[in-house]
Amino acid sequence: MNNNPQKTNKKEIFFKGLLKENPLFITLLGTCPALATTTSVESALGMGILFMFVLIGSNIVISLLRKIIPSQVKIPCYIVIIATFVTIVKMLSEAFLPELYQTLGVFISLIVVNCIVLGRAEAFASKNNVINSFFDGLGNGIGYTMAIVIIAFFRELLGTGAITFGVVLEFLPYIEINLFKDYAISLFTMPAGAFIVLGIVLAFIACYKNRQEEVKVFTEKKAKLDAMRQAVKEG
Amino acid sequence: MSNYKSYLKTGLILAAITAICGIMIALLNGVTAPIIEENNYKKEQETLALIFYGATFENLEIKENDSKINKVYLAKVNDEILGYVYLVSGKNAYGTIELMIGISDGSVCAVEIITNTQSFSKVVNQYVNDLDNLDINNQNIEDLDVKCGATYGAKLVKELIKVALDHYQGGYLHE
Repeated sequence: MNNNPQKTNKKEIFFKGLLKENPLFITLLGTCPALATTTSVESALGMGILFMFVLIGSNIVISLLRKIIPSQVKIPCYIVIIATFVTIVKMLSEAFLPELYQTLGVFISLIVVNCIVLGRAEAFASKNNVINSFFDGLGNGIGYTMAIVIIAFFRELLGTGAITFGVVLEFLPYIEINLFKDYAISLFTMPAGAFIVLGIVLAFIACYKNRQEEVKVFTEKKAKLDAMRQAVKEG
Repeated sequence: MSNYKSYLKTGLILAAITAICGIMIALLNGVTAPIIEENNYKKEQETLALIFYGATFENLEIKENDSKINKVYLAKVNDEILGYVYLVSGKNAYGTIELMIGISDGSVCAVEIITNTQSFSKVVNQYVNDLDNLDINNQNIEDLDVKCGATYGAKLVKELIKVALDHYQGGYLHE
């Protein structure tokens, strides 16, 4: 039995955003940048880091100001705060990560209209304290980053036959893991390939969830039957 | 009266949030703007060296300037003119493109991207890379195929090359 309900709550909030309610794979939000920026693992990782910064920052600020922001103008306020963080992220990436900035292009600015950021602001940060909002932002941010990196991994591997680091994120050493460059299917580097990979990943997740549900139903039915048999024996 | 107070309070809160956000952005801009300018300058210099390796570059005065031409460089090696490099930029509904176009002996010898904020930037980048294998001049620029999966971006690239070639051929350069 956990003696610290607050710690359990934060853990619950974090893992909810990371796995149980993963923003891309479960709630299917933010699919546009997820398809556009996943041509390589590096660009997906870069996008994920920038997105996480915006999400955590906006969650914290909106949670801090939740009792001050009037409800009639809450959405414009949230947009202004989110846009400020996106502008900060854009300027910092242009100054310190120019290759990433060039690669991601317009999709950095599009974080402003990413449903996940506004959705978490409205659904969670505006109703919870700063610490919980931080963990919610962290969980959803890492969950989204993990999701887009998974898609990018398959797209880059199948589309180019290799995984490369150190090109977009210049602070990483240059590493090229060449597996089957001669047999690469360039379709996977194109938008159609992005949809195919996302569809297949979602299919696997749906299959796993259905299987979990079936096992749960079977276990419950078995427990009921066992209880009935026991009752008959005793009776 | 209480409605008026409520509206005033809402307006003041909105104004305060916006002002603080604006100040934060302005402060960060003050910090990052010189770094971004230095990055752009470095990239320009590296691209110039890529187009005419080993040359020295002189920024020329532009006569009869087209608004798309930002700078023109004269490339020289030991007082021998190798060619010219045009820094051109253009915009369409999909974003901005800034190119460096090297022209030598009446033909385009290199096209390098400086900035590309087009929606299909990767496709446009590949299109520009593929131009290296072509001999582009005033005679065949109109035949340049723009079908590449990002037609509007490619059209803008073609237009910028044409602007550079027209200016070069027009005799406007001061040597």
